Amino acid sequence: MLDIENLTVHYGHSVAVSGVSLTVGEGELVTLVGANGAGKTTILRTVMGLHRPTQGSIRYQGRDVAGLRPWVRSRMGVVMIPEGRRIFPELTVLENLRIGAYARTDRDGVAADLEKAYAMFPILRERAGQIGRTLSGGQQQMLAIARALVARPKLLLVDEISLGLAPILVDEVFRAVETLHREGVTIFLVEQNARKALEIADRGYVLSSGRLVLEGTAAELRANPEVKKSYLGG
Amino acid sequence: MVVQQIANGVVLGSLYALVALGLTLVYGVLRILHVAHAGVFVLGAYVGVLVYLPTGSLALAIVSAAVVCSLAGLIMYRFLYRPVLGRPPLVPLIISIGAFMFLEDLYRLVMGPYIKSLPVTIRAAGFETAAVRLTGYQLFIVAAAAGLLLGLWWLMRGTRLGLAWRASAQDLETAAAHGINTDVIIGVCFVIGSAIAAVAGVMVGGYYNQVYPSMGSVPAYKALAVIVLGGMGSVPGTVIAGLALGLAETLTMVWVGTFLPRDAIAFLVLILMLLVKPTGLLGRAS
Ligand SMILES: Nc1ncnc2c1ncn2[C@@H]1O[C@H](COP(=O)(O)OP(=O)(O)OP(=O)(O)O)[C@@H](O)[C@H]1O
Ligand SMILES: [Mg+2]
Repeated sequence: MLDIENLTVHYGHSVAVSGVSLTVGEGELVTLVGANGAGKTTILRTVMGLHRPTQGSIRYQGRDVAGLRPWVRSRMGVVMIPEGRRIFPELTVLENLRIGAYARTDRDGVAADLEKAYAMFPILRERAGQIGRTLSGGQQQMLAIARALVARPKLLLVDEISLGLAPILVDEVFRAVETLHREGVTIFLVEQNARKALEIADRGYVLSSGRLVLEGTAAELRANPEVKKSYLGG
Repeated sequence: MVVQQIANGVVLGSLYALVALGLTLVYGVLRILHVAHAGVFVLGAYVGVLVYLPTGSLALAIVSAAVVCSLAGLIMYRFLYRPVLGRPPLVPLIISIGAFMFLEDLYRLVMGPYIKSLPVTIRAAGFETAAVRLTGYQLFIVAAAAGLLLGLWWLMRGTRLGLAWRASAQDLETAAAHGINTDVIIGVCFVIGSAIAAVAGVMVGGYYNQVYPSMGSVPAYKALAVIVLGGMGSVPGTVIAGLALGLAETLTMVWVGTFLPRDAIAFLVLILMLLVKPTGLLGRAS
């Protein structure tokens, strides 16, 4: 579904991602873990089309997406839950969700997906008319997930969905990701919380200073002494 | 006297608000100070002269000015700003100031340095009581401004395009990542902002019965004062600030007299505002 080959990305003159190749197969949940500043967000943003690579190719459903603008990729089914949630602060919850479904023309499908999002996070229905910035951090994260859901993603890019959330909410948002995965959405999950990510993923990659250093099935990575030491807290 | 000056202030303020709206729309999505917007306003006034003198139709003059200026706005975006998106804000600002100066000289070359008159007459009746007298043309200005602002409000609040526009103004990248063609949204901002400035250009030209190459200079810096005052990027803030500035200017004539140059008031108010509330009337710290 997603094939990244030899991807290199710069910010000005400094290199953020260097020679990364990875694949996410149809229906898979693949995680990319790594420390602060490893380059995870940069990879996701480049896949979304928000950042231009210096080198390498990105193919989605077999098609090279170089040169396609973000909204075109989004309409092809690539949807991102961005780092820091990035909900629209002055729009209501419902308006945020309508932006998620903006490019869709199947009214009935949108209505059904909206119901699904509300069923997943009932608090959003209660707060439908409330302005985004007045939501708590956890509610904002739920809104960011719901906004992606109503876009009906084929490939969902998830960036640090658990960051800054209370443990009970961490479980809730990870459950939401698992649910989407079970329903057939392909997921590329970026996390610093490697323990959680490797619990739900099929496969994983480990990124360090812009380079891939390890890859394998989730079970392999969980058992890897290097991973245990550096990312799972011993 | 006071009532009369309030009425004059509302007329003047409506014009300030119309000119400044383009700056607000562009700043809202691109965070660029589109100084050359005042050059678009002057272009509108000249198109007004060129169309009104032979045809005598104010409606035709306004519509032609709006069309020409929309195109001019789009061209400026495409060739001045788009190539430098993502560069430090100083880059588009300097380009914009340069473009404004270029436009003033271009008008001087093409249309001549002297004042052209735009002797607009309209059939609408004026309004007169003991305390206040408004000409038909003044009433027309206020009505047109109100109509344009209501139309814009409806567009922003009541349509799908408006929803996409508001999302883009809050977070351009995230909007683009959610399927909104932000190039179109930015284009719409330039088109609407420039069309409104064109209408203001024709109305101002007709109000003072003069159109000249540098007529955009004073509106340029007043519009800057208005958008800072209103809280950068806030449309209702711009309208309120425009009206407030118009009123401040006419009312100081009453209470302070004319020894205080009227054009300095914009900056006095601005400085006071920045001391009291740096984010402007309706601005929010981000
Ligand atoms: N806009 C930017 N301009 C310049 N350098 C940047 C920019 N964004 C990121 N970087 C740099 O690129 C590198 C990779 O950053 P990136 O945000 O992709 O890492 P990350 O793995 O997502 O980190 P985190 O876990 O903190 O989110 C870092 O060294 C960072 O300092
Ligand atoms: Mg990151």
